[in-house]
Amino acid sequence: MPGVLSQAARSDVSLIMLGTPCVVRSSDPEVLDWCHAKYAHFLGEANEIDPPARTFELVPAPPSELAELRLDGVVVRTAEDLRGLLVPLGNELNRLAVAGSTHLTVHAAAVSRGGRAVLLPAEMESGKTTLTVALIRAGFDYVTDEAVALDRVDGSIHPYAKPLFLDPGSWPLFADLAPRSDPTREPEQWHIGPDEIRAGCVASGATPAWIVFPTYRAGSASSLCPISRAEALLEMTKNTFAFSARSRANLDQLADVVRSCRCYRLRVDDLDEAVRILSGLVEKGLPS
Amino acid sequence: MSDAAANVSVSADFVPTRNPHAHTVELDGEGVVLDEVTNRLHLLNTTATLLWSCFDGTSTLGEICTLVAEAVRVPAAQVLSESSAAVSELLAEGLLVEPGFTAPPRSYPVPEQGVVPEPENT
Repeated sequence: MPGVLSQAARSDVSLIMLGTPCVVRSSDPEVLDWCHAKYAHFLGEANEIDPPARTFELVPAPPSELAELRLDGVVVRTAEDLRGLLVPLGNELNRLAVAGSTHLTVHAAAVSRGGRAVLLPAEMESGKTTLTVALIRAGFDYVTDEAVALDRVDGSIHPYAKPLFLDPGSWPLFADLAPRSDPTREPEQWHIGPDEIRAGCVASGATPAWIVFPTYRAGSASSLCPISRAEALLEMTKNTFAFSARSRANLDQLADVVRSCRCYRLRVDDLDEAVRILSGLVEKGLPS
Repeated sequence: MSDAAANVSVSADFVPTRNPHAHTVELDGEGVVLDEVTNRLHLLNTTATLLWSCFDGTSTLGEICTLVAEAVRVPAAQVLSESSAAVSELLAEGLLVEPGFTAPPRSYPVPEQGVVPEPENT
């Protein structure tokens, strides 16, 4: 497939992610196409804002050597070829964006409806992304599958519509989302652009309204249990990036967010049931 | 109650004094207390939060319990018994300090391992 950007003779893609400017540079037009498609919601003029843009460069492998992913000239990952660097590139972009964010950033997925968001804070490998994909399919708007960036003054959510990183365990549930560019090769993760799930699903912004802590228990009955806001606040602190760096301010700002939300624990085994429960929760809370 | 708390004896004459490095947020009557030195967080139930709000560093536990007992219409002895246990635990956690405690200058907190998650899938 010829790269659409190759005709414009461009060699980089310029992104702004949670306020962090970065440039992805490659001589391979398919790499640039991939970035352009997956990171469509972050395209911007990275060199026109502060701080100075960080530059990722994907360097093809010479014979019998490895391809390299470099950040500002320093090798951060290697692979057999450039395609093998795309998933690491996505992870590095995410790491850079979260680390550079000046927002109050919570390790959580989020979806919204009518501008009101459901936050889903949870630890790694807890199924946040799987649940998020299913909720988008059920009609929710996509906010993020990884980092909820909260404005430190008014608590509103700054969209972070990164590609959704889907692990192999969830692939059978969403087989139609399999990467199509190279069916002969299985990546370690699927990086799915949100518009591939449902065109136009990305939320332009949202306000936190519900905080739901999902936990999966195989064979357990599904249940949505209200929890106190204080308990939710404690859980939120555990899921806040760099909480300890400014713990007092972060606690106060998180408390302001939690005060405006209803808080629950969701125990569920079945994905469809989880979607049904959350859809019901939100429909009850939206103005008619 | 922790073993450490069990070893702390608290009488009605004790004057509960909050650690000056303890920062409190209250939500619907429950408290979340941050120890800014250790960056540890503690969840207080409604009763403990009520008591915590009364710990002004001058009133004795007995005086506080008398007021609380009148407010909640529970015998003062029962309130004192239960409060003593709570105070012991708060002392053991370092959220309460001995009267006359002078706070050392606050050092920059060391980020707590495990509290700050790394971005996923890295």
